[in-house]
Amino acid sequence: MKARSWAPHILLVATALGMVLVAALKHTSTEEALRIAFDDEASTDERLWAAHVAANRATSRDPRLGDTLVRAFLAAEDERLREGALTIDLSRHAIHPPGARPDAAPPLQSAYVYAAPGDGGYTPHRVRSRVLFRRKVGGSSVGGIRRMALPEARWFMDSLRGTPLPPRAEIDRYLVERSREPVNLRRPR
Amino acid sequence: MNAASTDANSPRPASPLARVPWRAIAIIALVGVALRGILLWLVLPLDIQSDEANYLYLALVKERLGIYLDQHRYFWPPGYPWLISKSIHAFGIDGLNVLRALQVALSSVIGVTTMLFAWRLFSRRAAIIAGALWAVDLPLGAYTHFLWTETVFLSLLLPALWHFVRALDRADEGEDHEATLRLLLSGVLFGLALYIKEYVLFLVPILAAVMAWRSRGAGLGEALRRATLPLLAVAVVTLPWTLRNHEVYGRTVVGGATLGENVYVGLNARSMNFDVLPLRKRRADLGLPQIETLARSSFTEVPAGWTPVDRDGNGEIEVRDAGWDREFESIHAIDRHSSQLRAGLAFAVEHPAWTLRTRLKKWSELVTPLSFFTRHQAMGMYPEDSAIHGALRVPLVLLALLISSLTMALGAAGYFLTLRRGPCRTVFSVLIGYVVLTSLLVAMSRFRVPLEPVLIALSAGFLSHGLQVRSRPRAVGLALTLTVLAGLWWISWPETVAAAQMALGVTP
Repeated sequence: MKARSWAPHILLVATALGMVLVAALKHTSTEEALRIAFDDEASTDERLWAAHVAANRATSRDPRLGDTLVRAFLAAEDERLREGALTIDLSRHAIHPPGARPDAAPPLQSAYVYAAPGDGGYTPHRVRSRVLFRRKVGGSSVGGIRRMALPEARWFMDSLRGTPLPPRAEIDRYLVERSREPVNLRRPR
Repeated sequence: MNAASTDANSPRPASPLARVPWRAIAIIALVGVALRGILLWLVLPLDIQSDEANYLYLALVKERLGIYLDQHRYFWPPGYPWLISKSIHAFGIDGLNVLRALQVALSSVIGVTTMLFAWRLFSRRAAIIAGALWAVDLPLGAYTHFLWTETVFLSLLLPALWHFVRALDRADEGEDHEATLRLLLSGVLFGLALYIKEYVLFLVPILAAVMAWRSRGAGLGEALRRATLPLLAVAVVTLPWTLRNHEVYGRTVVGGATLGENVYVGLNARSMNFDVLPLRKRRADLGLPQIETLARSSFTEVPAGWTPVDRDGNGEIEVRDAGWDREFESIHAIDRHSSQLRAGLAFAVEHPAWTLRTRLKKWSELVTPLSFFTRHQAMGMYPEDSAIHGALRVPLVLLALLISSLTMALGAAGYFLTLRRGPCRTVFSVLIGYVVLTSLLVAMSRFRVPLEPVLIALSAGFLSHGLQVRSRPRAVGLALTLTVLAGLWWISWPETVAAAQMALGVTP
């Protein structure tokens, strides 16, 4: 390479153009993303990614995402899809009933997460659902309240690794204690 | 590098050709890493707090669902949550401690570059003193056991700046080939840093302009060639993430998007000092008055004629109720930027006196002697049965307060009295100006972190060589800077004392 060569510039621009070209070729239209998100035949990863794309490209709340797709995901057999309904992507498209408070949590997801546990107590999916829905950043209007603490993160990871969760009484005690923490004192924003 | 050597303790700026004192640097770096390792051992087990929880949440979602989410109010770059997700994927939740250990190791990069800057600017002796200061710099060292981005970010930013400075050196010497390689490397490192924090997004073009200006003697074409190289390298390194954002959001986002929320926090009626805000719960538990009630109201009180927004509609005005509310119509933070920026600027223009006095408050919060280490101590985050909470608590908190204050004052002395003109001074000036100006919006001790290594290097220069530049304007500059610094400390003094007392465990 010559001392004052433009070769690095040319190489960098060519690399950038290559990446832009690949991105353009792999582009998914919003309508196609919506179709995949609802497609029972598509894989879970494909549906989660498609929902992620469709939810974030929207410029206003979309009932197809905040209601229909949430119901479809929450009714799915796959636990990952059900958990995917609880994240910020679909929570911020929530459709609230008339007269709801401005900071009301997404109703479908709330009902799912707070449904009474069965006799089996806290299943791994139930623990993950609670963490994913309630510990998100963004405030109560999207379902988030109080930041995550280490025990919840540990249970989340343990649930993925097949490690048994603590007894139901212990989890209940922890959740009650956390729910009593004054939100405004912890995070005055 | 040429083997030619200068006098080891020469007070003159080290020649670019001088031999780097690698052995001394390596030994000090190892000592600094060992001290941080001991600190980590002392603080475990450590719970997560504030943004640490948010980073971990993002990592858990990535681990479980395979997607990277924004944070509704913010859109952070993905690098740090990605690191966490890799750690917990491999080691479970204990991966957090593995990441902390990695940060301890990475801090050696910060130590080495700090010493290199001191060597480059001053001498071998200054490099050793800088290394010693860095090794015991508790506010900086504590970030190795926090799950905040600072350690990883600095370990990319400082080498990026180092290679940029060396590129300027080499270009000045006509060594265009090496200058080109270093510019390329600098751009790649800046690009990687943008995956951790988007903070440097506007710093790179400014530095590119510096490069073009300093290269003007080589001709317009060469100046452009040099200046555009780091910009292109940054663009290419960040392009995969930018393209991904364009695919997901249909908008162009380089790095992240935090401006809208920062405007909401920083150009709004309520004063929020993030070095003391998280102490609210503990102060309530201890029956102490909330710190904001102690603040000098001239610099924090809401503007006259202010009508607060009762956000939760409960009829009571609380700390969280602000002068203007977030924009709720937009789906995510990216779209919220422009409207919140307009609202914040309108609020600032409507209340010019408030804007002026609260900007002084922001700068005061930037230069506070407090740190996240003292904040953690004040919050009682460290294990109660640990020495860091017991016998070592008072000496360590005092050390943290002292070293923060000293490096600011001595760093100013080094900048005005010891630092000679040259490319490194230009780059340091740009960085200092960048940090100071960006802190007009939101400030806290954590935002000073990119300056800490610079202040350490400058302090070391002053301690090594004292007065080197005899110039009346520089003396006046130092006097003014120290006066302003003292004034800024005075502004937040009541909160600083209250938080320091909590950190020391000597609350009234």
